[in-house]
Amino acid sequence: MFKVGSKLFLGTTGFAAVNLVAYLIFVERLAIGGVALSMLFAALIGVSAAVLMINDGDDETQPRDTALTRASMWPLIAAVGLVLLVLGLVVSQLYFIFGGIVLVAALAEWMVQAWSETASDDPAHNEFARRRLLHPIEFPVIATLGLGVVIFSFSRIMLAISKNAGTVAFMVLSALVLAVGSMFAIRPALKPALVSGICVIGAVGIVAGGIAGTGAGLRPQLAEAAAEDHFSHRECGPEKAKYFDKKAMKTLSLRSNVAAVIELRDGKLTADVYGFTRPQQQVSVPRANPVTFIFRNFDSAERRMVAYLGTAAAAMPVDGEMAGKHGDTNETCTQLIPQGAEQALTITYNKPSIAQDNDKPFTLTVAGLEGQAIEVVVP
Amino acid sequence: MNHRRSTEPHVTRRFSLSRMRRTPLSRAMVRATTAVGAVVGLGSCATNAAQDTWQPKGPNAKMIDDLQQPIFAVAGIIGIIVFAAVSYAIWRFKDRGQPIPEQTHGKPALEITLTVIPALILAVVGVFTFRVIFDLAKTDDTELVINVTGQQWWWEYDYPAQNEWGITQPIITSGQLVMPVGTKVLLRETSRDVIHSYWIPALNGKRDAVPGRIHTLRLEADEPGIYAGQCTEFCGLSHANMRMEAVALSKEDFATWVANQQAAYQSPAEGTLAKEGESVFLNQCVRCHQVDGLKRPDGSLAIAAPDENVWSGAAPNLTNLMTRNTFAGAMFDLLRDACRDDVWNAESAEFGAKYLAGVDEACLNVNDLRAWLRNAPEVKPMYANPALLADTNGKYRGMPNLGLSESDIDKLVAYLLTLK
Amino acid sequence: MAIIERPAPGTTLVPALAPSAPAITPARTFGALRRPVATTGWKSWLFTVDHKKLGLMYGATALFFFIIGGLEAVLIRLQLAAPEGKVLNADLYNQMFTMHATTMVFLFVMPMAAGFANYFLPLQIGARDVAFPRINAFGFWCLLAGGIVVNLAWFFGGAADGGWFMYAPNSGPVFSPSHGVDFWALGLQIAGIASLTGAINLIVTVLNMRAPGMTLMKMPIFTWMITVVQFLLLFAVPVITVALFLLTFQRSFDAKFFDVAAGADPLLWQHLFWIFGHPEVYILVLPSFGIISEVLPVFSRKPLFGYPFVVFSGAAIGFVGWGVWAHHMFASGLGPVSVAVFSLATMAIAVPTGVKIINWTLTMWGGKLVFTTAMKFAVGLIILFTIGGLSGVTHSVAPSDTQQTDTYYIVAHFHYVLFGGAIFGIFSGFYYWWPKMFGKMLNERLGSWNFWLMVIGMNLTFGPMHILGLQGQPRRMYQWTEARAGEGFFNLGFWNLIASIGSIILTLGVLFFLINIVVTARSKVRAPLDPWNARSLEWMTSNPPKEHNFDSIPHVNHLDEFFHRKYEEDPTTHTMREVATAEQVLAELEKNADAHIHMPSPSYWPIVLAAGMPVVALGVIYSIPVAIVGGLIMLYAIYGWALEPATAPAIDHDESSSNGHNGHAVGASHG
Repeated sequence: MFKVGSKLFLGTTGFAAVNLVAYLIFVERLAIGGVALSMLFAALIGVSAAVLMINDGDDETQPRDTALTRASMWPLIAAVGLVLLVLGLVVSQLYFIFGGIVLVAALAEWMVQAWSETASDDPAHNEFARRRLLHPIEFPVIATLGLGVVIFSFSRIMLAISKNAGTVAFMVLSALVLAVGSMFAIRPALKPALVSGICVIGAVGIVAGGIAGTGAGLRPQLAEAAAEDHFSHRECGPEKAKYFDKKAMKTLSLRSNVAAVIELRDGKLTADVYGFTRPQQQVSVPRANPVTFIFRNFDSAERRMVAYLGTAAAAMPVDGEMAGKHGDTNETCTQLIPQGAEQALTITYNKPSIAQDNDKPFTLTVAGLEGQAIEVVVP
Repeated sequence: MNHRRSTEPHVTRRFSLSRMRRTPLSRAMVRATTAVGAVVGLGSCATNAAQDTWQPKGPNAKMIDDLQQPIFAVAGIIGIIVFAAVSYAIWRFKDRGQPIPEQTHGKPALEITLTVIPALILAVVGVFTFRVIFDLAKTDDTELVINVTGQQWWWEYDYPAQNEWGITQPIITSGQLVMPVGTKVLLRETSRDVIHSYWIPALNGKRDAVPGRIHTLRLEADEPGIYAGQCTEFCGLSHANMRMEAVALSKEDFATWVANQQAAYQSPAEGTLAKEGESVFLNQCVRCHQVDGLKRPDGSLAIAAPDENVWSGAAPNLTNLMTRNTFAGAMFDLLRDACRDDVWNAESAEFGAKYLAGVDEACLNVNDLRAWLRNAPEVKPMYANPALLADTNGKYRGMPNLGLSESDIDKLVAYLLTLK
Repeated sequence: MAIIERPAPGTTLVPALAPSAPAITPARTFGALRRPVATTGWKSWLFTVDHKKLGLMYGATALFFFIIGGLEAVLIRLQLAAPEGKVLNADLYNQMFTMHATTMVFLFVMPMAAGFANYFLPLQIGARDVAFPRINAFGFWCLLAGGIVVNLAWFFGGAADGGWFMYAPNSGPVFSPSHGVDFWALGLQIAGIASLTGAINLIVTVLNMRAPGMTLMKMPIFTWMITVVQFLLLFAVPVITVALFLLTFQRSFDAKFFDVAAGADPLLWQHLFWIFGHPEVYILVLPSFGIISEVLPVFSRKPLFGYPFVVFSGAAIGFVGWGVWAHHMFASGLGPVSVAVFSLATMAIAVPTGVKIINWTLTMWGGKLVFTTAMKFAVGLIILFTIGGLSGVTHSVAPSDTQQTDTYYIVAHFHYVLFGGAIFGIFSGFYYWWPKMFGKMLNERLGSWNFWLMVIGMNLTFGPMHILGLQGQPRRMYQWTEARAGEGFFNLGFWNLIASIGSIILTLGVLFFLINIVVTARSKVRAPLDPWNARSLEWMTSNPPKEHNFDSIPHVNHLDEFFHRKYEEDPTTHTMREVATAEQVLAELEKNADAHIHMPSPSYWPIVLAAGMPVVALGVIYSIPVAIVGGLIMLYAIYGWALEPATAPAIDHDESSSNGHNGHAVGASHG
């Protein structure tokens, strides 16, 4: 009648009763310890009663389960998720969210696995059913995550090492991928374990590199650029600006059919206006319309073209407030470009030339070069 | 191999025309077809269609016409051959109870011949096409440059300073392109908003005006006169009303026109209706429309700021409005019908004088002008209702309804008549 | 149903409307999802994966949109019948011509060709279905969803109004402030999925599922042309999808792809559009070339003249078609070098097109021509397409094109090509294949009315447009003015009126076709097995075909296999004599019928997945959360699809029906 469980709980209940009485007599009455012990006693009575009633959960009339529950990783992962969740409350929200996702995913997998194991008597069918249900979700999600981690790690490596090392690293890595891929293609009979082993080593290598890269931080140039606002350093003088003129040589202006090409050659500024046979000193452009000029520097010194946009808010560079005004003069300019390079400048002139003070028409000049200007006429 | 040889003479016999000539019915059909063809080909076109592409009036359009006429002829001949062959096959090989023919799968030699012949014809066409394409793209022989800017739904013309033509300061106009005859004019086209296309069929083919790009188009007129055109790239609501007219003047008349365009602004005399109109103009119109030289009562220059009110940032410059024959993107004539016909149909010798006379009160098309001033969007579809223009921050596209009173309109018309 | 038992003897001669199916009790897929099993009623259509049912649904949808597009065209012509037309206002007119072109191109000709391809391509190559039946169903529902989205804009503040070419920047939010362009761009992206999936599906089908003995050069010419078209689609549709995607981002998310002030070049759109748009022209017209290349030999009682030339010229058109897109941009200011190159390439493409016309004419030459309505339409195509082709040559000459482009001359040209070419071919296909699809012949008398009214109407409508265009009337004008219409009796006003009258006659012609459909549907006369004395495999089965198409897959020895089973050449006269009737050929096939045929099973998921897409589209236009809901619907459908085997497993079926396992399983088990 009394089985092991019932005996255990009844014994514990008795032990708790003895304890409670002893505490009340020997320690003190009406203290917190007494309350706690009486609660424990009450709880144990309840549990004992329940165990007695269900006869230790033993049902002799039903046959014992023959199919054993298989090993599962979900309890472990759920526990990890739970730990992360709790840890996140203290450490950071990121852990909390990540832990929550892991926990929910693990519970879902757990549920489906638990269901599938009792779905039918055929274990093979049960496993098939589980796969059929979960693979459509598992595969894309795991692939996305895996690829994301690898790509992210790779980007960390590339950001940490210097530009030249980056080129080398990229070439080496792609050559490696190609070589390994070719090997797999040539030897289709390779053991799956070997193939996956190689892949895992590669992935782990990249992830490790990524972690190292994150530790090392951005390379100095990038860190500097990230700290600066590109346009806040725009300067239109003849001297080299620290940031604005960085890598000006690499700026291309592959635009056809522009309003005019402004050329600096032998210290003279001329405008090559499509349609005019001779070089011009004046360019007529429509009002209120974005027009593009290309500046070509044939001078041996590094030069920039400066567009004077009038005293009033008569004209503005297309990038609007970003370029802004420089002191009292309303102007915009290209970068400082070396000999043979070219750059484009897009400007909208909203007011006609007659709105300007006659002495100071709209012009295109070159910083540091006196007496040379192309007049921009806006009818 | 056997049956191929055996069928060849068979086919040739079927192809012979002598059989066909023998039937009176087919002879009648040939005659009828020829007659119908002649009527359709020659007599069925409109005469004097303003934008006829087959009536070139300048060397560029003539170049195109000389290239395309033989091609139309060759295409027509090939077409007739195909129709004849198909018609003959229909008639000759109709099911009259003949047995199911031999299942031949073709004759490669015949196939290749019939492939090579059209290829050769096209190769010849290609050579001539090539030459004309590059001739039409020349820009190095230009004598006069005019900037053309398209905007929904009108064209702006500005003449950059070119001293050899007496243009010392830029001229800006709209509605009509004025150019000297016998001169290689080069248009530099661009657009302020969407893509438009400039097309004066009598002078050259069309060329799109694309925002952010400059495209060139050669024009040259042989005779003084007005040549009609139409925007041909779909450009929105009033695309159909975006017309243009190219006016060719003799070189002397063109010089007169240039001088007049550059003359200083003259304010109407005090106390006239026109002077009152000027102040209405300053109150209402100058927000968008520039009249060069117009001064406010305080003596400052009135500078229009269309960029603040109009999406595309410009409105037609109305200086010398009455020297033009059209308004509202050439949709309406400024001249009454009789006066307009007088100018359009003038002999080329008299044309210049008649055109330069401009528009006076007797000839003014008052009805359309007043309707336009009363409520522009009603007579020309435009997106002028700012309530519907959230995407443009309330800026108009085209002219809005200004809600002018009739007396204001009287004054404005009187004032506009002084802009000569 | 997935498994078909060997049909009872004799069913080949008695066409069955609904194939008799064994009783089925499908298992729930993992306890939750029971797959559809209906073989009759609306459910059998909604969840079908049968290529024939999908083909018919493509056709019905296309026909519906043909009527819509046609009514739009009639409104356009009514507006232009007289000067200063007042039928439509400018805004409505712009919407009308935009939607007319969009509807006719994307929602009529393309799906109609897809319908014919779906129905007849597997039949012509002796397959039992396409390679991916569920993707096939998904494609159809995408097309329908896309078509609905594009047209929904009519009820939400106005349809797209930028022309079917939708040039930037006129298509931007500032210049087209209604939501029409948004609906248009998103709807076409959805409809584009149909073309892409269809292309992959049919290419795989043709390459892998041909009957034994059918080499590529023994494939029926219609199948060949469809294959070429699918390759064109496969490469062209992604381009327009990218362009539409950019447009959607420009409009809905403030991107700057075509914004000049931000440094963009609006010509980018034109290049993207026409790199798609020109192959699209061949996508529209090649299926019809295929149809009449089937019809002409049948009614000439002769094989197609120069079959390899027709095949290779089709493939050549497919290739060269990629190098001519800029001939739509001769006036765009590309510069003389590009213009010259594209001008020559365009002339080059005229050659393979000319080859086809020559071959069709020579197919008739020396034949025994039977002028049924199908044949009339085919001959009509030769003549009308020749006119369109020749006017096309006149504007391959770039300088001449700068006078003609964007005038009514171009409208005339491409209507001769697309109406005279594509649509006449489609009507030829209707009359030729109707008995195959429905087991009843369309009335030939009404067909004759239909044909002649359409020919007269089409020539009256589009013929005068040559004159209108050459005399300077531009396209896309909501009004024309008398001031520029010229003088004389035959002025532009006269020709505009004639064109409008022609459009009414054309409408009458189409009306006769619709009447013909109704009359035929109500008629009780059944079509004979082989009404036209046809030549290819699709006629080697019952009318309409059974669900599994063929009782046994025929072995192919000839191009025109069916004809050669019926006729043999007389060695002395080289004429053909009949050795077997169609019924005998079929009885022979049936004798060797496969006992146990696995067919793909119906599915809910294609239609559910496609239904999620318009929700996403509406969400992108109006509110992003709605788009998320649409995305969830799609995710659900994809999940369900992934869970479901293509062919229901045998346990889904009655025990009694799985008594034999020597069945012939077709390859239609993927997708």
